[in-house]
Amino acid sequence: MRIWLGFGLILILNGLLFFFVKINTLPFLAGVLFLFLGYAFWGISLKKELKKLTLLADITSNWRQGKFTKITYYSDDEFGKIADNLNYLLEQLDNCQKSIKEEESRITAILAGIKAGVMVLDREGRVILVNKGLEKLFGNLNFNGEPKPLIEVVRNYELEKFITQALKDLKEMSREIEFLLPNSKTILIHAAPLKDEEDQKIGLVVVFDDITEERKLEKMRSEFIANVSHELRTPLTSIKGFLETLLDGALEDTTIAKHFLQIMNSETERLTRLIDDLLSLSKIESKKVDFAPKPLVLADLVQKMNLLFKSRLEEKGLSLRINIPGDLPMVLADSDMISQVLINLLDNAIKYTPSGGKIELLARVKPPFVEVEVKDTGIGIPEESQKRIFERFYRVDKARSRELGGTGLGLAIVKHIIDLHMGKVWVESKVGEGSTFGFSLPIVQNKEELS
Amino acid sequence: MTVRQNFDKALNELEQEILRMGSMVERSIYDAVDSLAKQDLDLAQKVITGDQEVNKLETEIEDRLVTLIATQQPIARDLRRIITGIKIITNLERMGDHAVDIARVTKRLAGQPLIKPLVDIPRMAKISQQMVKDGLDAYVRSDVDKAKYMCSLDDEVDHLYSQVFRELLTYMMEDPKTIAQATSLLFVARFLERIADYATNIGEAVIYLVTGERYDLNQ
Repeated sequence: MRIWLGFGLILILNGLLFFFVKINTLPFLAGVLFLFLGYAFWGISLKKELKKLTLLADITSNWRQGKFTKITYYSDDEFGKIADNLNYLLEQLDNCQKSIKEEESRITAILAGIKAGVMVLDREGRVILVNKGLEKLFGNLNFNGEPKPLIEVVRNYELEKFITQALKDLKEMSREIEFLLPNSKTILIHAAPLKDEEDQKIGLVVVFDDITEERKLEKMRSEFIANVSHELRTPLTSIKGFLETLLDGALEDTTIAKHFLQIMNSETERLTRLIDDLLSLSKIESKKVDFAPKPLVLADLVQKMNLLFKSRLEEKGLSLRINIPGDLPMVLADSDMISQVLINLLDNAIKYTPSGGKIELLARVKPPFVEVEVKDTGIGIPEESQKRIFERFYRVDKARSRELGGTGLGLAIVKHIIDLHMGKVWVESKVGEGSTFGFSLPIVQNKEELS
Repeated sequence: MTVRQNFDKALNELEQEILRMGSMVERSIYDAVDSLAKQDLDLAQKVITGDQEVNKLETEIEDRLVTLIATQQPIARDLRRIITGIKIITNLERMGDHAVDIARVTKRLAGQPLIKPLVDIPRMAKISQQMVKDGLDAYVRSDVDKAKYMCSLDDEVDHLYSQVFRELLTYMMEDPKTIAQATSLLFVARFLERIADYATNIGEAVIYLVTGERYDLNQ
């Protein structure tokens, strides 16, 4: 193209020379013609170059909108080079984005994998990130990824106070806070400042740990200790009291002395019972007991029970009906332990059923278990007590239970034994109508266990 | 910052203050009922002293909202936001007062064995608390459906209230010695019923805020 222009210029000069030296307009006109032609060609080729630029501009505007397509233009000229460089940049950008996304999904996966609730706040105290654990902890969180003030996400002013303090001090802090709804939860909150690469503190990471169960267990433990000491002390105090009275002279009067000794004897028995129960409970709990379940025919065991309780039943005027199907499969259980369970349940039924009442012992198959139930027509258990009846030392009526010689551990032992057998215990009851205590035991599955 | 941005910022901050106050009231209702069930006098005292803070916060928020009206002359939705805010804090403050009333009953009944284990009152308390929570949740999310849902819960509270009323009445008729305590417990049920009503007021205020329409939840 430039050649054409140059050629045209030479011809014009040539023409001018002729014009001055010898009037001849032809070469001049030819020169002008070439000039125009050259200009036209130049224009066309310029337009072609411009088109390439427009193409580049179009593609790069697409980039701005996030549509990353490669430039498909190859040539040796400058445009080719620009396109090549841009393509390289694009590739780099793509790699960067991919690694950022990978990093992000890794962080999300890590956060989702943490069972504790995690929340990230910026310097202004706005929530910028929460994990699944936190959503689970609080049910439905009012957070969709947009930064939001804490009080709008979790409405708890104690938490807010704590976070405000942590943001002010920008140091690690922990506190226990009780959250109310839908269910009261004790949560241990740990806040740690978030730092960027230059060690500038840019926010806060807050971890929420649900410690409701731990606190509950702690409470149960201390209650248990308090209960044990109380239960042990009561008979001891009475024994000591009577002993002192005897030493002070009551010994002289044989009738009184005998009476006192009888009381002391029964109190000692109570202490022995309590300690026996405690020991067997702790044995079962610590799994130190030799647990060797063998195939067991329940009907045999139940017959033994019938004999054992016969006199007590007659004494109190109660009837015991046994309803065990003849084809009941054998269960895998420890005979001594299940005897203990049946003794405890029948003993309770006899204790809490008024004279003339009925007690029924029945069994049925519910694969892969056999279910055994002891039904009575006794005084029943209020609904709010049913949940706690298997707890150690829980009594519906403390005074009454003690009067009847209970240690408060019988049902706890039942539960522990059945737990050891992988079975379940349950209670159904209505005040004034009677109670049903049931447990399940696994059926012997294969023949080898039989041999 | 433009005037508009200033206004928005001030209003957003106030709305957060309202939620803060809501959280305090939620807590005192919970603690008040808990103190009654466990006969915990310290907790009852905490509720009574804590209410002063709630009252202080209420007057403070109200003053700031009134100042906003006076200085910015808001219209339409902005004005509705402010009016709703005032309504909500008024209702919250009354709920807080009732929590104190319940805590006072705890103190009055101190040392007396309850004439019967509390069954329906904790149930009422649970629903009323749920309603307060739902009301504030609806407010923070501008959730009209949630606000309307509270209506059905209020019926349940009313139903439980009349149940408690009937039951306590039979106790009083059987044994006049129980009258003093039964009346106190009856008041507790009444306070809880009122708290549930105030919660529906919050629900209505939220519906008004979002739609600009009146809706009677407490039919």
